[in-house]
Amino acid sequence: MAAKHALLLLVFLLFFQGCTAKERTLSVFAASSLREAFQDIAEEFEAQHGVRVEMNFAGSNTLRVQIEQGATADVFASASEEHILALERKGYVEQAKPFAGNRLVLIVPASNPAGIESVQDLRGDVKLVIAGEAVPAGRYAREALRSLDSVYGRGFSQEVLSRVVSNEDSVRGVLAKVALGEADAGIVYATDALAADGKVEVVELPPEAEVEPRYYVGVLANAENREAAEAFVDFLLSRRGRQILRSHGFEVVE
Amino acid sequence: MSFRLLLWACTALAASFVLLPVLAVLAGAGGIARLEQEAVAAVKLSLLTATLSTLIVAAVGTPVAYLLSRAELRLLETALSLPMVLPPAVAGIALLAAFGREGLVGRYLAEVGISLPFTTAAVVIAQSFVALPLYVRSARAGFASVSRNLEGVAYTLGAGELATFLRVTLPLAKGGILAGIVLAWSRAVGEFGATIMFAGNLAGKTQTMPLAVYSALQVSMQQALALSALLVLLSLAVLVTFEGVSRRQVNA
Amino acid sequence: MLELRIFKSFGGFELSLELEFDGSCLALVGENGSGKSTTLRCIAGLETPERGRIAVAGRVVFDSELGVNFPPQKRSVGYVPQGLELFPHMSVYENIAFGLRVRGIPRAEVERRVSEAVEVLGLGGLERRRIPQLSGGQRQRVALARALVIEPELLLLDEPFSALDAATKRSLLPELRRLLEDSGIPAVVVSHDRSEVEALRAKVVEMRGGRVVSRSRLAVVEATA
Repeated sequence: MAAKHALLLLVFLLFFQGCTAKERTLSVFAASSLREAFQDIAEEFEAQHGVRVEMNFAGSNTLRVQIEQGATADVFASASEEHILALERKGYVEQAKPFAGNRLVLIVPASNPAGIESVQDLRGDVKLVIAGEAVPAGRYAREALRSLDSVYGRGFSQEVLSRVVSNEDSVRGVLAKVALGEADAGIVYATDALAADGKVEVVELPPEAEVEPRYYVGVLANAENREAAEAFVDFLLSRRGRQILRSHGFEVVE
Repeated sequence: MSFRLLLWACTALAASFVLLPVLAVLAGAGGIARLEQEAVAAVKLSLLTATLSTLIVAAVGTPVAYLLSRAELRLLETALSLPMVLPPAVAGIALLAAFGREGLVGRYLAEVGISLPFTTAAVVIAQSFVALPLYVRSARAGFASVSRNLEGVAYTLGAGELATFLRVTLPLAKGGILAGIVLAWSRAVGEFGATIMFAGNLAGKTQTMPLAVYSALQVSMQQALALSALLVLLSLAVLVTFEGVSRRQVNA
Repeated sequence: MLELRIFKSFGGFELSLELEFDGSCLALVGENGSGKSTTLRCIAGLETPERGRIAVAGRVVFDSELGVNFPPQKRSVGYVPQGLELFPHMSVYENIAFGLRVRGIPRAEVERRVSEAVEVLGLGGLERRRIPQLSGGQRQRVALARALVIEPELLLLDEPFSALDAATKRSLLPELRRLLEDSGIPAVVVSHDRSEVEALRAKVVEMRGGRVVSRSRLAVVEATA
């Protein structure tokens, strides 16, 4: 009899514990390129608010599908307008706000095995890796290449895209393949190159490659921890938040 | 009476646990007709690579399995089981470390102009890597069930070791071998983590069905469901065929 | 006909045997674990003695000093182990034909010899049967046919009757004796049952603990402990 009571108590405690624990955790889904910046932001936020931040990094499109399929999150930070707006339209996300910008760059392994000096060298027999079409970094990369058709001729982007040997599911996948030396080149964000710790070299894209990656953040409509979620977004948009973002190479909206 | 009830209850639970997701996926089978070109390419690629991998694995694994069944080679057995317990991503990294451009063997291959990552061959390598232990285990059990005394009698009747292996041991180990083939093929078809790391993801060349499902998932659940349903139906077809074949063989 | 001098130690057991035999049937008699089966296996070439010499029909098949060790394939012995070890995936015909087929003997010849063996062993009509469908006595005959059809120099039978019921045993014993006499192939029979071997009119060598403990009253057998 006593055993039964003890068991019930245990279950109750666990449940209760789970409840309160949930109020003290914040679940943030963020684009993979935000990894290092958000880790720093989360650290400070945790210290200030006493809330534990759990983060899930992946391609923004992946996160979007996860949210659509019922993943519980409080905050969503996307690397493009497309995915967060789609969620906003469906009512999953409230008011998406822009909070940062980025720049696309071409990267090569530190040893530069294919001897790539400019984006034009991508026409040659090289192994190019970019993110998949649905991933923001992949879409931006294709947009950038297409915009260079006006500079290098109409077949340029097609030729370069024919060098793609893999469509990665996140921009960090691209970074990994280049850092490992397996790919000759990849197109990632400037912030990713910074985070690579010297394993890759950057080749700047010509200014004509007009692409403006823009990051958006929003609180989820069914956020379990709404208070903390809104506080997190506020912190992200605050001066300190912008400072941290800038220190990681992001362009910040004033 | 209540023990039997318990047995059936557990079975019902286990069966529903497995069947429910499968049936849910099959509910999306309606979309198969609307599968895009890329999906069709993925199916063809999967069938080709998985079959090739299985053939390679069976060819290489059969003598190994026989050896393991006859000699006490614990270390070798453990080593060969490794790909089975490695997380697929780790397997992928291991393959890169060995056959990548700067890999242990890869660097020499690169000098001769052979580059493995991002190729269809890499897909076959990744699949074979993870499928081999499964085949070897099953085939080994099959060979172990053939008594050495039987082989011994064959020797006294004048049959050399190879002749005995082909005429006596192999036919009697058929059960384990066929089961191993099914296992290896299934594992090869479902291989994902090592493939995406080592071979990459490019439609038509390295995007196998699991990769296609994963990519589709990042775009539309409907496409992913349809492709998954196709994969399930394909696997079912293979399973049923092999079960039928092996049952007939074993009873022969 | 059979020259045997073997020494083998394993797991707290020492097999030490020396004998010469030139009759039609030699019986090794003793309790289980006295080394009888191991002796047969050594003669067949399935086990290797540590030291010694084995000669069958005047041909040395094993000699530890000279470094001679013929594999079982080359020893020309017909071995019927205790479990019979018939090939379960083959028919009666295929079992009997096995030794002939692996020698590349042409099909017509194989058919002739197998039919002869089937006739002699009273297996007529059973050629297509599968092993699990046969009775104990029938299986015994198939195993014998399989060993005899290759015309070996020596026949080795390990407990040929232990798995049979009394009635079958009673009928098979005289048959086997006649078979051995007709074929002219000498045999070494292992048994734990003296009455069996007496019915076979074998020269008896008793073994215990890996050694010979007594010899038959007939002087042809020489055995030392």
